[in-house]
Amino acid sequence: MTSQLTFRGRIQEAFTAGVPVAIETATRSRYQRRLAAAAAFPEMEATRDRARDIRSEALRNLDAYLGQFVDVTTERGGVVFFAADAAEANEYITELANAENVRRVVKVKSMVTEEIRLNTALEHAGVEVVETDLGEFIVQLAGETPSHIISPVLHKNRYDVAELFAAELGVEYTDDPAELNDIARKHLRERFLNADMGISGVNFAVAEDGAIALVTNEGNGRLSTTAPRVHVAVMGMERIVPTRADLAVLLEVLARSATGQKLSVYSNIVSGPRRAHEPDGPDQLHVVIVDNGRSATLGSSVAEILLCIRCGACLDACPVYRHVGGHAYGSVYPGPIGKVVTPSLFGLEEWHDLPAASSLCGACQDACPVRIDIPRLLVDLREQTVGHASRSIRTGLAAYSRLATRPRLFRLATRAVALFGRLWSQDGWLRRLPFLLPAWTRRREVPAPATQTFNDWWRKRGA
Amino acid sequence: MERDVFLGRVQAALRGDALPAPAASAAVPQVRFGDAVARFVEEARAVDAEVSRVNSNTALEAISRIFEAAKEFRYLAWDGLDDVLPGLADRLQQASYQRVDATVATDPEQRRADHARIGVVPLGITAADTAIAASGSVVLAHGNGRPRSASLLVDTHIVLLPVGRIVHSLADALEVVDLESTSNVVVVTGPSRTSDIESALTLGVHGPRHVHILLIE
Ligand code: SF4
Repeated sequence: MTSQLTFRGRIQEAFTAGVPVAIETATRSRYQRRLAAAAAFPEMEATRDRARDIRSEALRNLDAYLGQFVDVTTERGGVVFFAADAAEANEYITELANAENVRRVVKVKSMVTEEIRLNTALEHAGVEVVETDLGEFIVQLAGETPSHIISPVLHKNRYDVAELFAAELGVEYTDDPAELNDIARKHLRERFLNADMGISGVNFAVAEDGAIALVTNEGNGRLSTTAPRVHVAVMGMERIVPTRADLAVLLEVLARSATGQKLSVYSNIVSGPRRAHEPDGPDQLHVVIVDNGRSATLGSSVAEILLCIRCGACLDACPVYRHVGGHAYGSVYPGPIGKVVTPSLFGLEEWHDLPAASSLCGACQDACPVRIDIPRLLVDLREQTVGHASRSIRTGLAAYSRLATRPRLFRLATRAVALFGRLWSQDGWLRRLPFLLPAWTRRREVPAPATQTFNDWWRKRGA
Repeated sequence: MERDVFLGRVQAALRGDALPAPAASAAVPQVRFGDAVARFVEEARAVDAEVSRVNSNTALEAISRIFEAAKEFRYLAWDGLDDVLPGLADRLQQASYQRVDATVATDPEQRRADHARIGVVPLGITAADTAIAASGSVVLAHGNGRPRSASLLVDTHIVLLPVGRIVHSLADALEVVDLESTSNVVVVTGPSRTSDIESALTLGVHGPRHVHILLIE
């Protein structure tokens, strides 16, 4: 799961690549749209409370609801597989593909399949995998990874796409988004109709109905689960909601939080494979329920993160995400949600710098439709990290504590800093910090320290 | 992994009691509009669906106009549309429009051939089971005689909607859906769209570019 570069290196790269402008504009405009949508919907706050309750009810009895979901799905003709980890899920799906003589898979964008690296596993097994969400298709064609959980090509502009299509699809160069869309439509339509297997994620699984809901705006979710003979739905085990009424609440909340729509264009509800007399639809439905670290998260102090409905609102709201973009995080889950999900699924040891990269401003929690207290979870992960804090931080703090417990020394030191401020500041700001700290001022200025120490000021005031 | 082992791990994790307790929030207030029909029309148009308010006579003319504008004679359709709009089948037949059978085989080779035949048909006619005033959506339950392709593979999707089928909210619509005898229900809110390339809105990515709702009064 690691990328070659360090976290710092990836951030550096994001800045040099000039990524931020596109991301800043797109996230800001969607953030505004979302606010407008919420303002136009007076019930939004009550609905968010309800959505949070539905999600926590589902998780608090997850074993029972999962059992119920599986029983009903099976009754309707679905086949369920429980995968303890990525390897088990990938093995089941590739074996199924082989057994069914599958040459081509069409895929609907899904976070969990990115997480388990399903595409790589299928390609190793000689199966062609075609991503069908327009953005994801572009990312796949470019050999890149998505940079946002709901708009994967946020980091590309139309000219990038134009050149990519001309080079990879052998079409004439055009940078008109509508024409680019038509090219992709034609190319992918042919793939849909000649694929043997469709693979999707699951937005919500309804326990009482044994049904899964799959939301898209483009229609690729419907096509991938209709045209191929075999439909495989891969779901993180936490995707459950208890009832159909709960589904109605969450579909609305998801659409509003993801894009500011009242509902996504297609809310597609699948309940088993096609019945005997139905004219179309897949003949087989397989549901792969994935743990892959989730049960450990469920029992941990950051269990609340499992309430997440993957709407992407916290990414758009986050000042850090807006500046560095999704790739800097180095994980399939970027942004505030990723800072908690990544270390909790893949190990804090390796990913401890993600929870640290936050000012804890709380914008993510305000944006989150299910009100996940992301700042609290980040602080929790940081506390767990302190055990492995770096040597320089520990020496630094030790030095400070020595200074702070010796009044005379402390006074001397603060006076030196005040003097330094007088000499170096320009209009109350420091443009460049000396000694070990120049990195701090490479991209920003620092307010100059007061020209007088508090002690001196106090003494003078008393006199 | 075995089901019992898998669910056992979940159960063991839950013993930690690390999740926030539900706050027992009040139920979400029910959405009720004074004029649900007007609201439906407004919302559907806001998501780029075309809505025509017709009666059973003008509906047939509206459909003919759509066929003529598309310069097409082939279409996909659901069975039983005559129950919703009497005389429709006759009318289409008189104009020598041709309904293409949308049945798709299980056998891989035959399935490909069926797709090749069905995938080129640009018009589809369905009838909404319900429609949602709050979002301008139509609800289609697929099943026997009701192919998914009629609202999916075509360029223009024509939806018949008797005015009495409009409900207020998604919750109302889902309540009456039957998921036992049907494998697929879809809530359609306007034509297929994307904003993936530079956030520019484009209609008709994979699904229909035009959704034409005939609201029959
Ligand atoms: S944490 Fe909240 S805001 Fe972020 S993706 Fe999940 S549900 Fe959406």
